[in-house]
Amino acid sequence: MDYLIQLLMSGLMIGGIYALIALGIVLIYKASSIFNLAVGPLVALGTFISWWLLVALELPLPLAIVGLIIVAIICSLAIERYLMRPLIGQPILSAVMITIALMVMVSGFITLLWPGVTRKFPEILPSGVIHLGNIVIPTESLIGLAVCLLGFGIFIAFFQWTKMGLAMRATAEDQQLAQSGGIKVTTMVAIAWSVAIITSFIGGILLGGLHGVNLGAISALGFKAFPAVMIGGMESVAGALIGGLLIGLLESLGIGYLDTLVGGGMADVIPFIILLLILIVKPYGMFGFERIERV
Amino acid sequence: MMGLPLKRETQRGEIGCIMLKVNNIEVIYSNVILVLRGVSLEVDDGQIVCILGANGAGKSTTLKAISGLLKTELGEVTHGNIEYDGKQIQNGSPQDIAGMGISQVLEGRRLYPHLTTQENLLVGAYLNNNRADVKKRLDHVYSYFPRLKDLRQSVSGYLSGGEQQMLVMGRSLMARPKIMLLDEPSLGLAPLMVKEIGEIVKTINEEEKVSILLVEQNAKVALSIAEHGYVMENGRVVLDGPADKLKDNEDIREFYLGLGSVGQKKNYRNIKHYKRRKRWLG
Repeated sequence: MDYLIQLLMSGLMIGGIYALIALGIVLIYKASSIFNLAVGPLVALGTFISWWLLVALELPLPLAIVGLIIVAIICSLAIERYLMRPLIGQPILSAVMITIALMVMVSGFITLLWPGVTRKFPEILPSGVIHLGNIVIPTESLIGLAVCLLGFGIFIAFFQWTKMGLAMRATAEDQQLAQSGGIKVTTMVAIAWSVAIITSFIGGILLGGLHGVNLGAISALGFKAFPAVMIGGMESVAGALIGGLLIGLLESLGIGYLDTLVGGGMADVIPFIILLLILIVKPYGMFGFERIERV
Repeated sequence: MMGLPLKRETQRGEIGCIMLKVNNIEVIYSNVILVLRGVSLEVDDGQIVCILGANGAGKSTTLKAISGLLKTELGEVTHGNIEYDGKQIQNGSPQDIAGMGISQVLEGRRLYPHLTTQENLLVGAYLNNNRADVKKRLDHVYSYFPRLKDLRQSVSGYLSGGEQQMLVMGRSLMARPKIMLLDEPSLGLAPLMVKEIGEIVKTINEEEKVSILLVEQNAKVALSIAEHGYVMENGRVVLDGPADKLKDNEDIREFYLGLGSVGQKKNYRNIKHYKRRKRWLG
């Protein structure tokens, strides 16, 4: 019983990180109907840049976070201006393919600047554990989960209750109609990318603490956010949260109970098996928008 | 505060204010498809002007050229210009033109189907940064369309056709437009609803002092509320004049209102004959 609860808790922790990354994907999809496939390397970029700020430049944590946010905003403005804007009015598939190009570029960029062995991520969160009965919860993971939930609370409030959030939802539904109402689509897309990259970078920091500074490992983890997006529905912010947590839980349970049966590797496979099942059974996800058609 | 439009001799031959003047524009889509070949029209301050024509005549394209939405469809005004408030607005960006007081209500009751009625209306007031003013405006729009107030939390995709038409017009009103471009508001609506929408358009024109450029295929309704009308065919304006003159125009009566010369029985041979002859006479 304790084992189960332990698994569930660690599943929630990692699930929170997946949820944050999934949020980035959902935001970009909401603002521009584009599926951002470059998520894995972007998360890794966050890990590497924060490592660089904290270790190579030896900045204190608050300054490093500010630096990270500035880099994120610069990246997203550059992406919007040079990659996304030329493709307005072109088929969506072209824009999705550009994100694949972005993925390759970012990976190459990281390998160029920081070649070599896996580095160790600095200890920025208080290490230690909390004991609840027989269950051990590392404080790092708890803080990670708290950050994730806080971020989500902020974004859900933003979309439901602010004017800018409403404008973004409108742009996501019908770009041409939004433009006729005076909404600048390029601004909406730039904001979506900024937030998406910031959340990816935060995910990168949290994952770096767990898995070290390694491009391949972090990218692979970043990609697991896709099943989370599909479970929750591509247009739903709340769906990204629930999807992420679910994937984390199921992955954790899989590792705990099935790894011994099949000799390991469950962590990598389970999220994508679930992705396949979801696409077969409920492709719009739990909270995705079914197309409203009136005769 | 916008400067007042210049007083010039208007199409009615009087001295009045011209709000919008389209001068002989040529519109091409994707650099290859010529849709408008020299269209000129004029909307005076406070007037309702209608554009009639069959499908494919280029009516919607004319509206999109005015509101700037042409850009989003890879279209371009390659010749001529559009004057509004003393400025040239052809090939401008739709957001800027919307900010100048031109509001287009798109064809087919386009709205944001997953947003609620109230959210749809609020998006219309996006350019207005004064919250209290937006709230006042919202209440004002609800006073025009009380049915929308009852439906304000409903998801707008599920509203009936008439309610959706009221919603899209209300959203346009939220932006305090000086001129509204209405694209086929009566499309797909029941006859009673069409009558109601026609009356609403007239009310908006009188009470809000909004000029209206109305594109319609339903010539009867359009000519009953408009003051001036243009008829388009194949990308050109082929006829224009005051609405009451148009209503009595023989060709309009025959082609649009289905009223041939009184007492004449229509059989196929006659129709074939007039189709061959179909030329617009004065």
